[in-house]
Amino acid sequence: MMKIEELSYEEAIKELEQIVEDLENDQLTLEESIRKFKRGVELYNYCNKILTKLEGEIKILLRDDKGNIYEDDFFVEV
Amino acid sequence: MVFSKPLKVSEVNQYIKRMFLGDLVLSNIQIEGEISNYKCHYSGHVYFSLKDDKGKINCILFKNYIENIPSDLNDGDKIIATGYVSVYEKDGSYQLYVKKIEKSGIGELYKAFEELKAKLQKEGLFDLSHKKELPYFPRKVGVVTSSTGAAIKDIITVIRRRCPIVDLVIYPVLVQGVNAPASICEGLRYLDKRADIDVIILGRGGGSVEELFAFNDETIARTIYDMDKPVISAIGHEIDYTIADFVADFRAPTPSAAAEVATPDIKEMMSVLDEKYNRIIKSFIFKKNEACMRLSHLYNNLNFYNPINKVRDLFQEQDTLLKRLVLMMNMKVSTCKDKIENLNKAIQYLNPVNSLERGYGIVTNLNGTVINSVENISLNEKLKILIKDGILEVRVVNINKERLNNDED
Repeated sequence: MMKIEELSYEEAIKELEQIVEDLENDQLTLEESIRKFKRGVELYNYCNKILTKLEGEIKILLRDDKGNIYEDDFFVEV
Repeated sequence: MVFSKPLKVSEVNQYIKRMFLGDLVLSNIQIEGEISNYKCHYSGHVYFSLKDDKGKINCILFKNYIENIPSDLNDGDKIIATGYVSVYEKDGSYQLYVKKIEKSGIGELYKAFEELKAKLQKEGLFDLSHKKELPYFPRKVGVVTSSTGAAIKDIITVIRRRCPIVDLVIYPVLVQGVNAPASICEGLRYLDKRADIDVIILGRGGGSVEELFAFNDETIARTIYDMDKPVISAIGHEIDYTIADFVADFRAPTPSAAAEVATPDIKEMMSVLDEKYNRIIKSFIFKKNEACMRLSHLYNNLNFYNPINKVRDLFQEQDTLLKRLVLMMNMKVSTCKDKIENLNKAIQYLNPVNSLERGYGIVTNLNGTVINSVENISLNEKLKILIKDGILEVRVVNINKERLNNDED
């Protein structure tokens, strides 16, 4: 089982979906379902954290006088 | 031979004009040629000539048709003029009355576009099997577009509304003109190499066919085809198709639509996530309750077979037996007591002392031996008689052998 922080959002939500199905199918031992439940809640928290993070950045790529590319904040009135 | 009187000049010109207007070809014609002597008169009308290598025709466009011509016409431009040929009676000259002008270069551009499209299609650059799937949830979106156009504003607006947590990186490029293709390719290649970017939007706001033509460049097509990351094209408006649109992994009709396609709706994501959370909690609580119920059921069953119950039963049985034992013993004891009492009564009854009370006496010899037969005494023998309150010493004076009949009663 991968560390949750190493999962992409898609992987995390996929695993969460699988856990929900496993729990609903009820073929698990109690110990397994406790373990899965714990993992499921952790996955939920992880996904939730991603979705509620602060507003994303908007950067524009510019070149310095030596021609190297660097990022700068991009402002636009929308 | 002349059959009638001579006509006036104006009558002839009128006659020719009617002929021109009645002619199917001349009354609705398209003429291709090169512009010369292009002049916008202060009246608002436009005058010019169209020529090819062998001839020339004068043209006029009235100001009410000015909307129908490109704004940047110059001498030397190749155009296609639509209108009708008629006669200017005052001069007796014919000219083209223009209603619409298109740059005839467009025809060539279109031809080039069709040729390139066919070529790349044949090579497989548009194959659906080569198209990459767009990520459901990109964390960072790369945008190749002009930093000043409407496209970037539209993209930012949509992403901010739809999925504000997504990062954007803009690679500003030229989107029209001869240097545009190289600039666009550079931007695409740069963003494709960035590990942190998940999807790339190639965008440009609306424009004329010529303005969008940079996106029909072959190098752009090949660059998109060779990229590792999925590309969404969003060039011009819905009706505009460029070669880049055909090669891109997804063609969005507008930059706004591209932003919409590139990012998931965060509200929807949240509700999906919450729904899963609720399900997981619900099913787990259900599972837990079920386990608890099962456990308590088993506990009850187990308890039912607990050996302590057997022991208790045995204790109870033992108690019952003990009670019965005690009861029986008591009964036995009481029976014995009664018997003893009766015996005692009988004994009391048989006690000779009691007989003495009633007036009997006991005869003994002097040795104390009880005399109960005349055979054991002799005359003049001294005997003792015990009565209730003393002992008499007496002498036998007579022996009369006579048996009492009811002695034993």
